[in-house]
Amino acid sequence: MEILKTVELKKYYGRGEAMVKALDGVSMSVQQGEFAAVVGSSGSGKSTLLHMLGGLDYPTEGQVFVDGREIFKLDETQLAIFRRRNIGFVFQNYNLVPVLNVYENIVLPVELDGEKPDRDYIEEVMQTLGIGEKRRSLPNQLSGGQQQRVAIARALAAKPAILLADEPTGNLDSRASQEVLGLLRLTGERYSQTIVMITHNEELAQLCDRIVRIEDGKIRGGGGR
Amino acid sequence: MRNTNGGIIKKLSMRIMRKNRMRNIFAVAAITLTCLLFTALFSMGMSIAELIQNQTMEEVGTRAHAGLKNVTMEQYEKISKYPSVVSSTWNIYLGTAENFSKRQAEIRVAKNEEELDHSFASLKEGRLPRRKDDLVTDTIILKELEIPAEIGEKVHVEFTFHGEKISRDFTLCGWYEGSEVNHASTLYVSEDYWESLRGDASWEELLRWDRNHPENNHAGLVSGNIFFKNSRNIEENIRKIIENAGYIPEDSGQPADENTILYGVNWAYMSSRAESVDPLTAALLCFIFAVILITGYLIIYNIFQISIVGDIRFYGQLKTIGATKRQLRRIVYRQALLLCIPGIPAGLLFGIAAGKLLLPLALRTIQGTETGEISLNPWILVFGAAFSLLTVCISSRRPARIAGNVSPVEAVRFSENDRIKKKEKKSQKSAGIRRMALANLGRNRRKTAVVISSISLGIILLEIVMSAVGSFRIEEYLTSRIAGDFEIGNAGLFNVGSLVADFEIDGEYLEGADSQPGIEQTGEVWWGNIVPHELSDNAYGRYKELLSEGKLRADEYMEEQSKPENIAKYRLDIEEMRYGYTDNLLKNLTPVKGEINLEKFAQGGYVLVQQQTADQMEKGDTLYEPGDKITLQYRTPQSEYYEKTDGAGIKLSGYTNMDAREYTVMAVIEDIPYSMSTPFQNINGLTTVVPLQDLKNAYGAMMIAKTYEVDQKDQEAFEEYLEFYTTQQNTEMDYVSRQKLADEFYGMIQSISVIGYALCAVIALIGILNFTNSMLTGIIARKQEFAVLQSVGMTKRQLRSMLLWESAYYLLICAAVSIPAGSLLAWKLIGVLNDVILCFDYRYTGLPYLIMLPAVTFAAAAVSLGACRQVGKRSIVESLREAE
Amino acid sequence: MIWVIPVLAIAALLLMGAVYRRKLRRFSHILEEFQRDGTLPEQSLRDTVESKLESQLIGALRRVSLQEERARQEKNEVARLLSDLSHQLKTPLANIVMNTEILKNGGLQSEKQTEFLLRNEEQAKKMQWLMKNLVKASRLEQGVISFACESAPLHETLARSISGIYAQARSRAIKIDTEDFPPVFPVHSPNWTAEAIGNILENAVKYSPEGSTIRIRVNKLEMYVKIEITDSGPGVPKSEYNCIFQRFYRGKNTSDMEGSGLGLYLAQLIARNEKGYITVGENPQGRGSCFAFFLPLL
Repeated sequence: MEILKTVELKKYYGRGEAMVKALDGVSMSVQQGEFAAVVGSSGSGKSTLLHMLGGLDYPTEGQVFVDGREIFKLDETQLAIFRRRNIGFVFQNYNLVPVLNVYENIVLPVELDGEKPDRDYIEEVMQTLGIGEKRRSLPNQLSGGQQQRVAIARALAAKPAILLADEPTGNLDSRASQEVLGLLRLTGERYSQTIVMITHNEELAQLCDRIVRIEDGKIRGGGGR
Repeated sequence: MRNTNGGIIKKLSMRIMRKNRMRNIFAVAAITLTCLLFTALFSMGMSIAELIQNQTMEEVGTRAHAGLKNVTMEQYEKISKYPSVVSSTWNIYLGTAENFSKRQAEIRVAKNEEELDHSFASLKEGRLPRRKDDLVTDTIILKELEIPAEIGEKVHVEFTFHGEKISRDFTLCGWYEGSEVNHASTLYVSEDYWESLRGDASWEELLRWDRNHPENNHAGLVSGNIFFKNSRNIEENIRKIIENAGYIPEDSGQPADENTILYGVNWAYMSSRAESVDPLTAALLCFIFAVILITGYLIIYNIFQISIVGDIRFYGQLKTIGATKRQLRRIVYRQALLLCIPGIPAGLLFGIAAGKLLLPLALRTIQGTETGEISLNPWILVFGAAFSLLTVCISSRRPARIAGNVSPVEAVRFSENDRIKKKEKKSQKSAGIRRMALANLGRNRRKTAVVISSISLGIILLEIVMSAVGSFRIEEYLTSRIAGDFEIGNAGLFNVGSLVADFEIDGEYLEGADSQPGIEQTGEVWWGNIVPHELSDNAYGRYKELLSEGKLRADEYMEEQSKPENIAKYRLDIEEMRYGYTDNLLKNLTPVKGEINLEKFAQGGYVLVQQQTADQMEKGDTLYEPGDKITLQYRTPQSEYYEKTDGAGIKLSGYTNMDAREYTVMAVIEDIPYSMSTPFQNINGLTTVVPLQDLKNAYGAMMIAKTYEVDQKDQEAFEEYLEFYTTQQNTEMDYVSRQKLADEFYGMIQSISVIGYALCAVIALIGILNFTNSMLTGIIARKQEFAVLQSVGMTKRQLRSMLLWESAYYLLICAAVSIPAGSLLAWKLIGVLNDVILCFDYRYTGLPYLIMLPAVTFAAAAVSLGACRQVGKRSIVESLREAE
Repeated sequence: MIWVIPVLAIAALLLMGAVYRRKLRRFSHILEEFQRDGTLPEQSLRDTVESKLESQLIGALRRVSLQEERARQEKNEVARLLSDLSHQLKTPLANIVMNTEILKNGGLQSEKQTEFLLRNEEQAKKMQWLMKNLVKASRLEQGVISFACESAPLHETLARSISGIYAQARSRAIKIDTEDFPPVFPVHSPNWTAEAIGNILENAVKYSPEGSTIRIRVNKLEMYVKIEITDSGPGVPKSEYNCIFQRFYRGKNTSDMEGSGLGLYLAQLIARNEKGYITVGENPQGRGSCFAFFLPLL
């Protein structure tokens, strides 16, 4: 079952000679439950692609379908609500809210939706990710790997259908990277998540079900089944 | 069903608040200051309005909303029964006492003590009259009678009731404090006495008697005082209750009969509304209001703007997680409101205190008195809080929108300068420190603009206030108000707006003054009554010219005889007012055309003509030119007043048997100073100055003022005498003293300056606060950048000089903005006052710039250096790492 | 005027009822759709409680359908396994049939006979091994085998797997060098883990040049214990990182070596069943590959 699909996605910056084609007609699809990696060197447009998949940025042309729905037809508020109910993000720089503690950060998307967090579930996620002990800590008291695990827990908190990870291990050393990646894979399996991960590191992509290679804004392999 | 996600918004707002401690301090200070200004303004305005209303009520004589005039007791009771009447009292007028000369004393019966309270006659001692010979009156009457204010004293009263002369002794059973504001005192007598006076006469008979005897002045009829729920639509309400009782209110378009009821509406309740505020005060209030709003906006906006931009990543993160625009805006608004919780109450408190402090000063400027309680009307708090809140909401609108509209992608890499389109500065001749400083101002232009306008506003305002204060001309004021050190005369002469044509000086007063020691010189002002003047042919021609130019005043209410078009059409007489002065006073007259030769003038045959004074007249507009012949009419003992209707059907009046004398016009003079003229203004008529001897000998002329120049050491004694005589002997006499006028004048300027400077100080404080906030946040936001600069070899000295240059640029721009803008605005605004305020002439001053710019320079340097030290404390590596 | 209030109240109640019914109908509609053909409607994206509940319902249903999908895939997987199995069995079976045919025809010297019999035995054993491992794999895939994971000393597990491969290594003069490490107790099943690590070691011994050293290093991470096995063999090209753990995958430049393409596949399956995982990388000291086995600590 196809959950994520892009059709001829284009994103151009600037005009005329100075125009940069960050994405130049990307068509790809991701199956439900898949752990897909988008691999490319820096500047290949992979981050732009991820932003588009999550509805953070608008494309110049083309469509993105999430669960059969074209997301750029939604207005801004709808898109925000759609995002918090369906998409979890994990960023390279964790993007945790510095003024909230670990637990508060994790349940933030749930609370933004006016929901009482499912405590048992959150507890389980935190245990799985090994941050149960740190629930009262503030983000700046944690190591990078721990912060990223909090970010993963936060992305999972609202039980989104899709988890988008942008260089999740970019700021981590190789040990922490492998750990975080393993956990990503583990939680993806356990909570039936579809994961799309951006990385420039081939070695990290080996845990993925599929690798999509992107170069100069174009798909160079693995775009679809 | 709305999704209830307020909880998390609360939590997030609270947390992000806690993070921004410094911002909070600045914001609370800013909100407090704004609220302080609003509250002080409102409390002072409200206090003054209440004071004016109270004074007006005292003049009117009652606090009641409306009154029924000349009704019978049955009518009063029937009408006041209506449910919309909250309460009512009555009094019955019996007559006016005839044995008091100085003060009008009305004899009345009052319903109860409440009636006295509402009539500003609250008993200080004693009780209401009960027995037939009981009497209550005020201290003014008692003083005239030289009776001590003690219960049991006898008071003799003579008056006429329904044609019957009554002379009777009463016993004082109570007294109240009299007020000069009220034109008359009241003698309250008992109902028993009234019953005995009235005898068997029914109310209908009393009413009929009154109708048939206009000179009765409605003695024996009831005046009802009515209170409604509030002071809205008083007229409508009173008419309604009269109609409801089956009577006809006056002016109903029906002929008056016994069912017609006269009524009055207490105009204190109407006049204290908008129409009584003169446009200048209103404009001033609006200006101050706008200034407060703008200042408040500038700083609160800037503080929020900076903090939102600083936290933009936070808002961006929330957006990636799926916070909606609305939620983000609510986080910003919530912070603003939370900051209001300490800010507004503090501002209200300080504002009331400031109002209390400044009220006497404000009163001195507006009313001339200093006493007045600060109003504690709850509306002041409500308005103060509401407008502060409004300012906060307006100020946080844009920052809230920025937070709401943050693009989640950009937020991840947002920094302060990202909003400005990046232009590569190619001309890197030398990466000069100064160039960098200037570039730093340009990276957030909006912030820079806000800071500069905030500081400039303070400077501009100071320039306006100081120009205003410096533009008062004390010398001019004094010459216009007084000739010599003291000027004595009838109170009616000095009281501007007096309509009593009584300018006679008490002979005893004059003698007493003349006999005082130390008099060096005296001067006399003589006044001949108003007489008709027949225009010469030339003057008639000029009159028609002035009419055609529209310079003569034409009111539709003028009598036919005075209408300029009629005068021009039928060559009617105009009115002439005539003055005569001793030589030393003649020197105070300024010629516009021709020259004044005092010797020649004293010889006789010459006259001075004052230029025309109507509003539209220009300097030098006159009916007679120097050298013209002019014929003036003098009244003789045989002159009689007459009224007749001429062929054109115009009613004419004048005197018979006039003595005509011919003069030559020596000069046309400027407006005669107030100190040397009556309060009457002969608008379309002619004002002349004749040789004193001619006027002294003329019939009907009199000395209206005498001026004295007194040796410095005797001045005090002289004034003491005048003071004694005018307050103890004859209150109708009055005097002005140069010293007092000067003090008064300085007092007025002082109060204007204190209020003005206080406002400037607060606004300047806000400006500096704004600057400090911008500088500090700017520096903190750029910590990493500084670290980078330092890591590539910038020394701390260079860093410091860069920061100093930055503040120097701020100042330069401030100066460039505020000096022309302040000068221009002061010129424009203060220039307008030239025509409005007496003895006011715009004078430029550069002092504010000399005060403010160095002060701001000092503050700016202190802030920059302080911030620099903060940055300097950390090592480069630390700073570099912290930015992550 | 008084009668207006109850009428308004009733009207409001009726209206609320109608709205409520409409909302309920929307929910039941979603369920009906899903039960009929497994499709899910678009979510309504409003900041209301109903919209949120709807999103949650759709999310839950999607997970259900995803699990169904998974089950279906697993079934396919078994089918594929069977076909793989028959494919893998084809060659040895054909060999046995051929050998048996030759033996039946007779006329062979006894030495030759013995040789053929031995070959048959070898083929049969290979078949047996294949069968055993594939059945194991299929069970692991389906999660039929649940192993008792417990916090157990890694030293013992590691010793067991090394001793299993020791003889083989020695025959090729390959040294297995284990760095000292403090005792750790990852949550795992010693038997299975020993087999998985054994598979990796067997691979390493197989591809390493004679006389080289295989290094084993154990690191305790925050959540995992990482067991690194470094060899000096030809290494794995980056482009094959993602493939070598697949069933019957043979490296492109390893075709001359014998191997079943099942060892790493099995090792990965075991690791995943233990909530761990295996990654492959380069030998940081030069030629060769570095396999990392991650076992959870908790």
